[in-house]
Amino acid sequence: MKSGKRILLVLVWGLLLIAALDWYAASSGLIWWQPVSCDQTLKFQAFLNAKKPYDVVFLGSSRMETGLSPDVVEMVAEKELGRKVTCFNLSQPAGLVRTDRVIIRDIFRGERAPKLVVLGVEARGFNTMSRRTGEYVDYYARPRDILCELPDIVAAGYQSSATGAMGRAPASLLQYITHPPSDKECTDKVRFWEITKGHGAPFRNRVRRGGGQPREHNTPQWQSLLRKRHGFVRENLLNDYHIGDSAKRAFEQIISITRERGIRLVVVNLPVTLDYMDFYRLGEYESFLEYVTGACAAANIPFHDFNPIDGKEKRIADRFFYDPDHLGPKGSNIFSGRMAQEVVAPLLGGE
Amino acid sequence: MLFNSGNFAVFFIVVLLVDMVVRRRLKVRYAFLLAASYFFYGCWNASYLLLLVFSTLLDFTVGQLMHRETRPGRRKLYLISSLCGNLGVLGLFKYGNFFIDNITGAFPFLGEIEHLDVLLPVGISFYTFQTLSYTIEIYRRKMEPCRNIVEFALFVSFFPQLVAGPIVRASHFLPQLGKVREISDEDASRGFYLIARGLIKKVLIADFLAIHLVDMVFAASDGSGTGLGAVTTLFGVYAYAFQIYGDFSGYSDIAIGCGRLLGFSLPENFRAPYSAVDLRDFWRRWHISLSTWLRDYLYVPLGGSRKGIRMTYASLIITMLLGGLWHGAAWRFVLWGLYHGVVLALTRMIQRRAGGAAEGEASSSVAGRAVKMFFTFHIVCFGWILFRCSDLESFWDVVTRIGGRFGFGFDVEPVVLAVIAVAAAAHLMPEKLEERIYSTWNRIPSPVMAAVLVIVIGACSYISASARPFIYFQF
Repeated sequence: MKSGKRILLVLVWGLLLIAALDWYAASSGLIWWQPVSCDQTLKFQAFLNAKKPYDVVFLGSSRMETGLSPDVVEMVAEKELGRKVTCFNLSQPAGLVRTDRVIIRDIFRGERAPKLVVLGVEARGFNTMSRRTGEYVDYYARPRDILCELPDIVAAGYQSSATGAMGRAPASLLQYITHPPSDKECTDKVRFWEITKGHGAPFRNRVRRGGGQPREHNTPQWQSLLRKRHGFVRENLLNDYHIGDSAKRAFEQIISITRERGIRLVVVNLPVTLDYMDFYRLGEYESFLEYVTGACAAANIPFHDFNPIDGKEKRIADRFFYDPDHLGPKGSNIFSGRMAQEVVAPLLGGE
Repeated sequence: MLFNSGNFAVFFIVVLLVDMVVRRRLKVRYAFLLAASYFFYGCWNASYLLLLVFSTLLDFTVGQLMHRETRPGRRKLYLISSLCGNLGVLGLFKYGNFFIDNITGAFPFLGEIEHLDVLLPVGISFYTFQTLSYTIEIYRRKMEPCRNIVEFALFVSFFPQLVAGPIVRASHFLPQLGKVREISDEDASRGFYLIARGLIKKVLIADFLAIHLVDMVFAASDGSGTGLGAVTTLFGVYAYAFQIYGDFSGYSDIAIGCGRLLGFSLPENFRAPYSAVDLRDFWRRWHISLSTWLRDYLYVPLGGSRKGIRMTYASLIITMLLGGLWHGAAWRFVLWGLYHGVVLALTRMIQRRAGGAAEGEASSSVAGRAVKMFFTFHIVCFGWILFRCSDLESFWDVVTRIGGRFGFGFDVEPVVLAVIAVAAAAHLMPEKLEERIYSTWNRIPSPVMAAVLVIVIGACSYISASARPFIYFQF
C-alpha cells in the first residue's frame, strides 16, 4: 500500500512514542497532577495568599483534612510553647503520597516553604493498584492523557462567571500557581479556606441533615454503613494491594525535596476505627507500616503512629469517628490537640 | 467533537485508516466518508442532521431541475426556491430570536413574543453558503449539476470543513470526486504540517492569549474587573486580534490538513492578514473563502464597480453589512460589518482620488509599507473591539480605557508579550522562509515527524487542560 504509506508510518511512530513516553513517565515519577475539584485547588490559593509563611502545614487525605483543625493545634501549641504558631491544613480529599509529592514540589517553594510539614499517611495512599487512584492522579498526568478528555469535574473547575464559560482548568499545579482564577465565585471560596485555614468539612451537607456527629456504634445503621464502606474500600482503594515503585519513589522524593529546602518533615499514621482495620486482608496493613517505618528510619525522619494496633489507650476511640475512617467534630478536636502536644510542640520546641 | 480534542484525534485516525483500506472502491469510500461526516456532525446534535440533509436534498433536486430547464423564468423560480429554503432555515435558526427581540424592543405594544426554542446549528452559516454557491453556479450555467447524491451530500457535509469552513465552492470540490487519487508523501507531509501549525495557532497562541490577557481585558469591561491601564487594554486588543486570527486560521489549517490527508484539496482561507497594507488588502487575506463568496454572490450582483462610483460604495457597504450579520445575530456584528463597509468605501475613495494607488502597494518603500501595515492593523483592531464587546457600553468602556481613563498603566506578563510578538513576527515572515521550513519538514524522516507532532500535541495538552471551542463555531 504505497498510497498513504507515510501517513501510516507517522501514525505508528507517533503512537509508539506516546506509549514509550507514557511508560517512562509512569516509571520515573514524571507526572503532573490535576486536583480533583476546584474547591480544593482554591485552597492552594488561600495558602499562597498568606502574608507570612505558615509554621506548620498538614498534608494528607480527607482523613487529615476533616480530622485536623489548625485552630486547635495553634491554641494547644501556643499553650505548650508559650508563643504563637501558625498552621494550615493543605490536605486534599483523595490525597495520595503521589499527590502530596506534587504539592510539596510545586507549592512549598521559596518563601512559601513552612518550617514543618506533617505528612499524614495511610495504607491506601500507597496502593498503586487502587482503581480510584487512577481517577485521582491521572488527570493529564501522563503522555497518553493527551488522547483523553478531561473529566467534567475538572473541566468545570474553573468556569468563571466573570469571563464567560471558559471551561478551562490548568493542566498542572505549576500552571495554577501562575494563573489562579480571580472571579468572585472563586475569591469567596478562597476566603472560606483562609478563614478555616484549610480545615475541610466535606461532610457538612450531611451535618445539616443531622449527620456529622459520631454514629452510635453497634447499631443496625452503623453495621449498614460498615458493609457499604467495606465494599467500596475493598473494591476501589485496597484492591490488589501493592506498594509500587511510583509510590515509593514519591515518598523518597518528598523526603529529599523537604531536606533540600530545609523543611522539617514528620510522618504520622492517621487514625481509623478498629472496624476499618478489619477491612485489611492479612499482611496488607503490615506491609504498609513496615515500608513507611523503614523508610522513615532510614532517612532519619520522625514517625508518629496515631493508629497503634497494640495500645488501645493510645488510639482515638471509635466513638469519636463519623464513619469508619473519618473523625467526627469531637474526634477532630482530640486528634488536633494530641497532634499539637505530641508532634508539633516537641518538634518546634527545640528551636 | 473539537479538532483540539482527543476524541477528534481518535475519530480522525480511525477515518484515515478505514479510508486507506477503501480508497480504491470509490462508492464505498464516499459512502464511508459521508457516514463519518454525519457521525461527526451528529456528535454535536443528531437531530440537527435533518437540517443538513434538508439542505442537501433541496439543492441536489433544484440543481437537477434547473439544469434541465431552459425557460429563464422557471430557472429563476428554482433558484429562488433554493435561496428561500436555505436562507429560510438559516434565518429561522440563526436570526429568529434576534428579530423577535428587536421587534418586541421596537414595538413594545405588541407585548412579549415567545422566543423560539431552537439552538444555533453548528456550521449552518458555512454549509448554507456552500450549497448556495452550487445552485447559483448552475443557475449561471458555470457548472454541471452533480449526478450522484452521495457525492453531493459529501460535498455539503465533508467533516473537516463542515462546521467552520473554509467555505468550499462546488466547482472546487466536486471535480475532485469520481477518481482514485493516491495520497503522496507530499500530501502526508503537507497534511501533518498544516495540522501541527493549526494546533500551534489555536492552542499555543489563541487560547494562551485568551486566558492570559484577552478575557481579563474584556471581562473588565463587563464591570467585573478593575480599571486597567491604557497600554494594558491596548495590548489586550492586540492580543484579541491575534487570538481570533490564531483561532480561526488554526481551524482552517487543521481542516485543510485533514482534507489533504484524506486526499482532498480545500481552498486557502488566510494569508497573513495583518500584513495587509489597506483594508481591501486585508479582506483579500482574511477569511478568503467568505470574502470571495461575498464578492461573487453579493457585491458583483449588487452592481459591484460597474454602476458608478456611488453604487460601488453602496455595494461595498451593503455587502460588508450583510457579511457582518452573517457572523452572528447581534447588532455588534452588524455594526462591525458596517464599520468595515464604510472604511472600505473610504479607502476606495481616497485611493481613487490619489490616482488609482489601490494596487500600488508593491511600489511603496519598506518604510511606507510598514506605516500602511501599522495603520491598517489598528483600523482592523478597532473593528475587533466592536466584534468582541457584548454591548456598546462595554465597547465604550474599552475605548475610553485605551484613551487613558484609568491612566496609562502597563501590566502584561513578558510571556504574553512574547506570544504576541511571535504571532506578529509570523505575519511578517517572508513566504520563502515558510516554504523553506516546510521543505525541511517534508524531508525529515517519518519518526522525526511523528516526534515533532507528539511534542506539539503534548505542548498543547499542557497549555490547555480542556479543549476550548473555536470562536467561529458560533457563526
